[in-house]
Amino acid sequence: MKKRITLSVNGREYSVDVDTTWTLVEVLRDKIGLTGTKHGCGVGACGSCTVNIDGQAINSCLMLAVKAEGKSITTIEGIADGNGLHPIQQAFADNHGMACGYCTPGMIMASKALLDKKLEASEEEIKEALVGHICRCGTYPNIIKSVISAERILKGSSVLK
Amino acid sequence: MIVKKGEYSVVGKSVPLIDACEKVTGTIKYAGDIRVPGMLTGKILRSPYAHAKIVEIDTSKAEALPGVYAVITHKNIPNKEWLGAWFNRQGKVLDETVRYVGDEVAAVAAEDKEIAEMAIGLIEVEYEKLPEVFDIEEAMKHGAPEVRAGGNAIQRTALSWGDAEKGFEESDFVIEKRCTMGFAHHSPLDRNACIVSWDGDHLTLITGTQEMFKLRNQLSVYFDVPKNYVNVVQKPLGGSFGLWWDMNYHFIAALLARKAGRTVRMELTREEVFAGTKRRERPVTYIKLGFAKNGKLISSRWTHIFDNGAYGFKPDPFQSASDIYRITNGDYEAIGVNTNLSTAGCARGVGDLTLNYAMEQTIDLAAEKLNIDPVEFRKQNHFREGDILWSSQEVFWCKVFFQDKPRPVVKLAQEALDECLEKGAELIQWKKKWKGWGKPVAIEGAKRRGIGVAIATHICGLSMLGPTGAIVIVNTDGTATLTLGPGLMGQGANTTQCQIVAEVLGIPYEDVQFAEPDTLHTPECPSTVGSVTAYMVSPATKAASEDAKNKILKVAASLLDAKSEELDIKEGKIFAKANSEKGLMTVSECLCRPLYDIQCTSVIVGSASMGFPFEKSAKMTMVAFAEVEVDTETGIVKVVDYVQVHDSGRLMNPTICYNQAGGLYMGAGFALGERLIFDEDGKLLNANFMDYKVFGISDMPMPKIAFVEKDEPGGVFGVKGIGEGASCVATPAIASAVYNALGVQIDPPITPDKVLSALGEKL
Amino acid sequence: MDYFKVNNIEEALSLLDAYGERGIVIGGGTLFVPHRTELYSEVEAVIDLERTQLDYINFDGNKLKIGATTKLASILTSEVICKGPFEVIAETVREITPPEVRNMATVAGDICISAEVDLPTTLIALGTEVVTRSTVGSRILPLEEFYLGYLQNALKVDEIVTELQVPYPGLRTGAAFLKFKRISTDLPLLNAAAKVTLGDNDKCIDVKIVLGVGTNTPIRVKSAEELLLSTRCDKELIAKAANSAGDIEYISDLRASAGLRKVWGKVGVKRVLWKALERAQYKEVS
Repeated sequence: MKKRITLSVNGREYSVDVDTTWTLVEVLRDKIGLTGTKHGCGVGACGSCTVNIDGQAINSCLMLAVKAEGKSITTIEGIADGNGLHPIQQAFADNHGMACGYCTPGMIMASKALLDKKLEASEEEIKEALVGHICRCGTYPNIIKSVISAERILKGSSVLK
Repeated sequence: MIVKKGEYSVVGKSVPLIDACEKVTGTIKYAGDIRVPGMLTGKILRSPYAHAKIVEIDTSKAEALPGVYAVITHKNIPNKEWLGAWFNRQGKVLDETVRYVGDEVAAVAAEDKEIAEMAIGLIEVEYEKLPEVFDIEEAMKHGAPEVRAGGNAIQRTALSWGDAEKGFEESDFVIEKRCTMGFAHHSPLDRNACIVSWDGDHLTLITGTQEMFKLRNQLSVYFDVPKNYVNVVQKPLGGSFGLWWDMNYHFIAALLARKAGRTVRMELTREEVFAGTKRRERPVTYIKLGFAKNGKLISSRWTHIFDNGAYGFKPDPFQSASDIYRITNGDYEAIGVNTNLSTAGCARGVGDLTLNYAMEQTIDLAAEKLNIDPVEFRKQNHFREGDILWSSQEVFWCKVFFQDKPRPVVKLAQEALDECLEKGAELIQWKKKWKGWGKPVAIEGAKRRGIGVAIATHICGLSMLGPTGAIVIVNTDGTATLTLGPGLMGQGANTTQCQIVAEVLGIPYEDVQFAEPDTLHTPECPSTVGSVTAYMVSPATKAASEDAKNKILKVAASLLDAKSEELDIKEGKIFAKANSEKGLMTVSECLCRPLYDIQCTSVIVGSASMGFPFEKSAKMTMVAFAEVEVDTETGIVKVVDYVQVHDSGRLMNPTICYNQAGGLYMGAGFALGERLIFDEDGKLLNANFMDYKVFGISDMPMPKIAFVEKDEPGGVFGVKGIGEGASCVATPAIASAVYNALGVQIDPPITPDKVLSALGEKL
Repeated sequence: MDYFKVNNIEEALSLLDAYGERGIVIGGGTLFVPHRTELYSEVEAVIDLERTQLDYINFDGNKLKIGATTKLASILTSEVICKGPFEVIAETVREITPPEVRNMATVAGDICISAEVDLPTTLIALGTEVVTRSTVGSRILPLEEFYLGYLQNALKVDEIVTELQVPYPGLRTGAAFLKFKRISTDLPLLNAAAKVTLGDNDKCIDVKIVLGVGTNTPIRVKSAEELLLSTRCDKELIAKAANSAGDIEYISDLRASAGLRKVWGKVGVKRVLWKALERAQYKEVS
């Protein structure tokens, strides 16, 4: 069934015609043109589709687009504030938290959801937050290093504030 | 020669990835992210049977569906085969016979996904089932159902040195063993896609691939158009590990696009990626090893049977493992066998994972027989600098391509196995933990701990993978663009090759860009396989950079009224060698000045094209140590400590290499549970990440990754490769550790049911 | 397929009445969405309970009441569950990964699926009851009677789960949960849970042992319970009780064979019993 819905993504309202069976990741990528969020498996098993919804890390392949109406959605495209990269993005870039980069948006969004809630996350908590994210290249050690580095940057800038 | 750090300004530094910003912002476009206005969606109808003849196929209802623009079957496409790179696929695009569950039967191009799926459902096919065969040893037997015309096991390699039979007679001990492994898949995260359009006879195909040129060549032959009419545009890949090469669905999409007269986009579902592309070949290896009381290896015979699945035709797994130990006499035989399962072919590590696994298990048994520490035994027997590599791939490929030439003699240039073994042993505390053969590290209630070691080697490319052309353009603002054709699947070739350009040109790394490769504009490059780029592509990049630099200096010389040999470039500034402190002008200033003779500024194009002399081949070596804990009540095995040490020459970018070592997760997963499960009808049951379990961030403790850096003699800046080797050692090391824990060797995947059965539990 | 995000339970119930078998109720949708093509292609209406204000966790001193649409993630931030006698529920939820799924999946969803899930095993061991509503009224039934088979529960076509009620475990009660899986993030291949209450002289005055997933439906291992009730456990008895779990019928599927699950069933019972006893402050007497 076709429905016209309004999705709030990265602070912007998008009015889109969707089929009620479509998932949020499909609408983000195919209708709204935000292809930073990836669609690796469609069953919530790889983490590449992770976005933030109302501050929570969510697998956008598990959410019907129609269900996402009325929620505040943030994708990888929406976390930099226009003055450069978000500290988490910068940390991943500086610390080589990736090889092929395909899992990176999902890793960053999941890390952001964690650090937005808990800036002093331990290595165990970081691993727990990223346990549903496959990095087939195997760069897990540097991913953890990147998140820890991001913590330091964020803590530092929050102290400055 | 252990490298001297700080020798170079860019080489050897862990500069950020050249596309780091794009990757962390999600702006990098993989093939699946590309959308072209007006593109149609292509979908494939797949066979539900493992082996069948298509008796009747009726596409009329599908064609009549509004929104459908093209439908193809074996009846309305050229009746031709195409040959996939490196013997990975041979067959027609669509055939009257289907040879595995998931084999392509027909395809449609429609306005959108929903219509395409509906159209697929409207195609009526009558199949006549044919006898099936799934097991490689069964498929080899006389009278087995014929998957491949002419015979399932006709693809073979045989290489010998010395006299193996005599060697066994002279041995004090002879061990024989049969090893096998489960089915595995590359399973990259990226499902990739291809977007194809025709402009008259000009074909443009956008896709992620490691085989841009091979794909271009085959498309050119298949569609009978000149090579320069075909443009394969290469997008970066979200991982490949040997999967995304030239694929049958490229041809299907191209046929649909031609028939429809529209651009067609084809993206495979996760199930199709698992079940309908390619997978790692499953091996069965028979090894016979003869050795002396003093530990010397005297004779070996390998019969390595591996499956090519439905359409592969590899005659060899491609490996260097058969030379990693000094064995005086050897008979090496490889047999590729076709079966009615999905096509099998190259996957990260190839035979240096599969054959090497079998070898390492046998070496363990030999060391145990002589009661020699497994680390010491490997030190005693591994190949060394100057050794003749009797079964090196150059020998094999010369047999294939240059039958009239003498058998090449390839010698090992350099290895660092002793250093890697020593470093690794120290990191895992081998001396403290190794209690001896048959003695686990520790026993605590139901838990037993074991420790194991494994070595491996791999090529750093092969000369016959192809020549390289490289172009370095230097712009008037002093920035440079490198045009080079390696596939980009996370191994960082764009970054590291640009590091070379920066180093040689003498400009900052930040001023170098990597042009998106495509077959129209990019000169040929070897297939990006076998870790070729760092060792064998770099010379061309270096030469092209030198060419560009010489041209800049020639311009500078004319402007400065000097000799170009007296000048050099550093940090983007041109200076006199005699006075390196004083920059005379920037590269940009030099190139912005118009020259009187030509009344304008210069355009700097550095280029080079070259092959690589095969006698200068190099091998990478790696070592892994694993400690496991086996719960003997549940059969569950966990890795509790892991060390991997690499010899990859000088590290062009140490952190990229560190990340490349992450291939260990693939090897470890394969050891302990990653497996494709087929049912008795050849259907893949776990074509998804829910049930094909890939190691995640918590499935191993943080591995200790280390390097032994020695300048590789034949390598540009002493660099050689790492990528493929990274997955090779984890599997045998973990298997060895389980052996130490339990006293039984178990073939991967070492799943709980196998462990419990090995412990005598009747399940 | 039509989609309704209802504002209250009454709206949901009347839609369910209208659509019957062709309607499906979702909390998070984490099962429905990935399987909407194979399992639910006949669904004509998706009724989303997100706004029905059934997300709450309350303890009234007697019963822990968890609203149907409570997210699994909320369990992990609930003090009343995480610290105290209901801790085992949090431990169980922590095994349901990844966090992204916990942020969407609801408690009732996990209860209703009747497939490869973790919570029911623990909740049955705790003696949980399910409250349901339909347009004609409400009923309450023990969770252990809720499962009829794979993907089949005891809900009538017009019924919705609204709440779970977990009785206060009482003093000297310990509970434990164990999940058998292939890697860190995985569906359960088999799970086990136990709750024991000790009385004088450390005798078992109440014991519930449950195995789930690897069996047709979550099942109380009554043979084991009978051996332990009214006795003082010791190593031998527990081993015997665990062994009796070998008599249960286990399923074979692509994830694990019945034979393997049988071994795990016995080990699982043994391990959760010991842990539960430890938590009930059992003192081993030599």
